[in-house]
Amino acid sequence: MRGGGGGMMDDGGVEHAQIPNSFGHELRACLRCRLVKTYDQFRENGCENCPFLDMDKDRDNVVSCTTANFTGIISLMDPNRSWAARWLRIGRFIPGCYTLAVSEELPEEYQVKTACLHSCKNCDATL
Amino acid sequence: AASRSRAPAGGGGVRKRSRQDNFIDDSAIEDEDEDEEDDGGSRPRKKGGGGVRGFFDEEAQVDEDEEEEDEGEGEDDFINDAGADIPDDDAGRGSRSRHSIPMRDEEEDIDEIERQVRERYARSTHIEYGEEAADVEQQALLPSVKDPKLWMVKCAIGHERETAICLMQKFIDRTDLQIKSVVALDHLKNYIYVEAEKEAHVKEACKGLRNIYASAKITLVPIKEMADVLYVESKNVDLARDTWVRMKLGVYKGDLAKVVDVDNVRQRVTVKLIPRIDLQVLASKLEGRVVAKKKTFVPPPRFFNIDEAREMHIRVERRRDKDSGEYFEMVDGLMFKDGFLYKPVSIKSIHTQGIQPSFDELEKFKKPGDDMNGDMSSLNTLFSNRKKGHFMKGDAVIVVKGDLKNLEGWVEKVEDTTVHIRPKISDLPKTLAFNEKELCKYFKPGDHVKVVSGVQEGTTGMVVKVDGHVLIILSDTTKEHIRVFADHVVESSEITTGITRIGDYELHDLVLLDNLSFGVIIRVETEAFQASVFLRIFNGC
Repeated sequence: MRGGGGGMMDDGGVEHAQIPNSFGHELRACLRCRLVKTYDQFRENGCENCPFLDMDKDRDNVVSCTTANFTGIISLMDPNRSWAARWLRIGRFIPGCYTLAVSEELPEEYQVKTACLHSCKNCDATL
Repeated sequence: AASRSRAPAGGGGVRKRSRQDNFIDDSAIEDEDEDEEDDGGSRPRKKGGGGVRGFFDEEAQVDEDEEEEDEGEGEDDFINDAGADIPDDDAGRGSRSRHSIPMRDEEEDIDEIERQVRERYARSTHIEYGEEAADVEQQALLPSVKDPKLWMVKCAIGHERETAICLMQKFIDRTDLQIKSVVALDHLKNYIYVEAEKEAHVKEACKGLRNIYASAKITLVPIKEMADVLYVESKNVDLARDTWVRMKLGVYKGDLAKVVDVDNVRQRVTVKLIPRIDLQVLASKLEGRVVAKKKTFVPPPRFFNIDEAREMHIRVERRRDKDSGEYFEMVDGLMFKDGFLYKPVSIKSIHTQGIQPSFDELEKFKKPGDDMNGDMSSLNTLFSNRKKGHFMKGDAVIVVKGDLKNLEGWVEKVEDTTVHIRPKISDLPKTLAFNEKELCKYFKPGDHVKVVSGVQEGTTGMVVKVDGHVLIILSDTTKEHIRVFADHVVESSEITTGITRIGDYELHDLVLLDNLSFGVIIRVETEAFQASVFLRIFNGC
């Protein structure tokens, strides 16, 4: 089940991002929200926290906005209450697997998209 | 796609909370304010953010009232979190979802506020402030007694990530799992961390997982150590063109190399090396002859010479590399240019930090025909990668980078990586601060110096020529010209006499040689573990 650009919703359950379906080199982290999924998962379903990055529309977006270079994994079940999520500043995102740190920055052209996400009604902003 | 677990907007209490939380600097609120309840209810208003609130000139309320407010007013004073989502990734800053972020029904008001705020503040101001406040804020996010605890759980070694992901899946499948998060650190094998209110929750979550033994030890992490668990060392890989690196593995292990191309996507770089090719072996290989591989033999480094190769009947092709557009000589899949070997390697197979090429290595890299400028830039990179601080008060220095390049001065104070100098030109302020990478020790011909590091350590002498970073010194002892880096040298009036004894003999001893000659020792030298003695020989007269 997939909301429009959002996360998965199970019956009676909590909305959450896709869980990575493998543990190898295909794992990538979103440079903006640090969500971890496989390349294919990003390509097919985009990033649930950052739909405006349009990863599901163009594979270049996946390549530019995610990285295989990340350290550590945190499975976040309860972003509201988790201290770790607060410390890592991912408490606003939906439950899912995240990484502690990425060593690259989101390229500038995508940073603009993040910035305009709130004031621009045309953007696919759903945060 | 907001998470459903967020508190619903509505109710004055909630809104009031959000008003508090819409501080850019949330550190104003002490930890005890962060209750888990999402319903309304007054909270002790912490006005610790007074200093911060001064930043916002629109904020007029310092009052403590808890009355219900109009949404519009409530949001008026403070920047909406959503708007404060500065590109440098501080998404969570300024609010926690349990304190409601006005969204959904309140979107229009948000837009209105957004607009107002944007009118008032240029974007760049936000960003600056954000970066400065980041550290202070981080402090405020330290765990409190009200937060869930962290438990260390033993799991199957090598399966840490897998376990974390499995627990996530389990949470999705059965939402009665009460743990809050699971952390798998790259560098910690055999253990994962589970965040939960009670140990029982941890035990319950781990039941039935094949990577966690039923009897697995669960240890509570002391609250003061919790933040350390999540500490990640930022690896500053300064990989740019012309950076010096060293090879970690293979034939070229330990060899100095220069980066010529970086591919961050594929985590590979192309480096330039002095080739270690055994032409004989290569020729045989290409001709199909099987050669007994002498595994332990590492060919000495030598520039590649096309003619030499051709003489051995090795086929050398001139090809154009599609990525860089340059011509290379290809032999057996290897790329050569100007005698160097250009080799693509993975970033993991090279050392990038703390590379200190010796003078000889750099000399070897420089081919005849290389202009000094090229050398300077590579030396500059070299110096920028130097770690140790080597400036002392009183050192004469010159600026080598930046707008004030070529300014001379003397070191007044050294602080970590910042060096304060007193400039030579009187029109400038008394002291100027520079990063140590921007400065280089400055010597003039005629200065008397002492070499304090490197191969020539201990030698003293007089500077006869200055060539950028390199000084040519006339040694006191050997009366030879030696080349050293300016960095390795300090001004000194000390004159070493060098070594005066070797074995039984001392300088100026009268010694007898085998035949009828005798002589006086005039010089003693130790070089590369070889002792030499120079004699003035008198023939029998």
